[in-house]
Amino acid sequence: MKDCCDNIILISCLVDGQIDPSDKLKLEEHLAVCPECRELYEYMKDTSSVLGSLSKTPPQNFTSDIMDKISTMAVKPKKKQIRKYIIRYAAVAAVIALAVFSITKFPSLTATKTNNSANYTSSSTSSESENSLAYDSVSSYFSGGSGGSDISGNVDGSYGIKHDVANDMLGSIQEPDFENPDVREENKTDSSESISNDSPPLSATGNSSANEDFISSFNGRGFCLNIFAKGDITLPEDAELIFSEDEQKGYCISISDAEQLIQQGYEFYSISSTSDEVLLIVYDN
Amino acid sequence: MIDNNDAEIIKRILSGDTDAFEILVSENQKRVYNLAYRMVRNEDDALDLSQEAFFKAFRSLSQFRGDSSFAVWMYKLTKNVCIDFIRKKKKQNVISLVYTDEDNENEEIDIADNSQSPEVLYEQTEIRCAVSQGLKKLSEEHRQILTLRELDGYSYEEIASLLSLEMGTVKSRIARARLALRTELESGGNFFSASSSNKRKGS
Repeated sequence: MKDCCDNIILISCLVDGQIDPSDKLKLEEHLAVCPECRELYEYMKDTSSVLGSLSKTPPQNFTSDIMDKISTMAVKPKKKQIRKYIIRYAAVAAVIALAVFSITKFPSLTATKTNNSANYTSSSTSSESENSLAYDSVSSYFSGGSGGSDISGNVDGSYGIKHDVANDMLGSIQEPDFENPDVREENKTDSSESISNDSPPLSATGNSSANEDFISSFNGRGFCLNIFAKGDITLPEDAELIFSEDEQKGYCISISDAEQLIQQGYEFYSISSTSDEVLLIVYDN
Repeated sequence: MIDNNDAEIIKRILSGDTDAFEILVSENQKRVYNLAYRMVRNEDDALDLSQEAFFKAFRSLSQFRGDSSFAVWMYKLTKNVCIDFIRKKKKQNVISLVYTDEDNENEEIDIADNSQSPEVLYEQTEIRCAVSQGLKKLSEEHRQILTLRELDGYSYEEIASLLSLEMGTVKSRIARARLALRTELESGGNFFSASSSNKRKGS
């Protein structure tokens, strides 16, 4: 029985407890009468436990540390935590201030947005639910799944700037997260670094000529827009595929390419992330 | 495929019960931490990276589609986190990517076990040292599969998924890797294999 391949594999499987009951019975009968195979089994069992003991044990508070941080949603470990809070609340305050400012100073702006959304809905053949689907999925990239329902209100034109923009910004301050193992994120700018930019946060939706004003405000400020497009879009040449799901693909494109797309009439959504790049979501028809 | 328990836990987390994530962390912490350690060869970095991997898992949990087990998904995610780290570090020439790092020869045997007498402890340390050295001498293929199976405790199915192998190949490769390790231990003439065979001859 020595050097019998089948037995070696079965013995190895027995050590791991991954053997069929019938094979196990036969093998155990064999082990009782074959010293070589029995020795091999004992060797494998012994080394298995030694090998198991070679792995390192993480610090005792490993899990509790993670849970503490998760419960406060402080997704960046250690040093930057406090700073991040300050930035977060400062950003929210800025958003609210801006929102109040825009409502009082430019009441037409909010009206325009509502109209734009309405235009989009009527001129496009896509249904609201498709948009919501795409948007929910995107928002989960940026806010870890939370807040999606708050923000998706933007899609259907019922746009409450004060409330929704604040939510958007809360979502956006967290790092964009393309860490799905199947999906690699190449450009990881530190959100807490670039958000400390003095520019007031802006948010917008719609696709009319008002877009140009918004775009010029975004330029050079390190903001990111999300653009939604149908599958028949001509992609910018250097569009980098960063994720691919059943019904949609995400591309990272430059802000100038984004600008062109918006001028062609593509829908875009509120600010997320803090890089100069734009997330382009292309979803199937 | 995803384990039913994991699926249930993930469902709970996604519906707002974030505390349930603790179960996934404690189930996977050791293998995640060890994977990170093997990749960066530094405890502090391994700790940071494995924690980061869990944060990322938490944030992107909604994208987990369940076509592999959570452990496999977590493995890939951790690997990506570490690769990013290594890539950045590599630019600074700070880190060695080589697994058999000579500077860390005795790294694995520093875990004290106070429950044993000094003699037993010494013997265990020697055995672990020998096995650890033997493991390092194996081919990459054998070392990798033994590490996944023995050190990390992944199931055969998970290993098949991680290495894109058929189940039959996983079984035979693990068996062959174990034989190869035995050959290494015996050729080293170390006391582990000698004492094992003596013990058996005497019994």
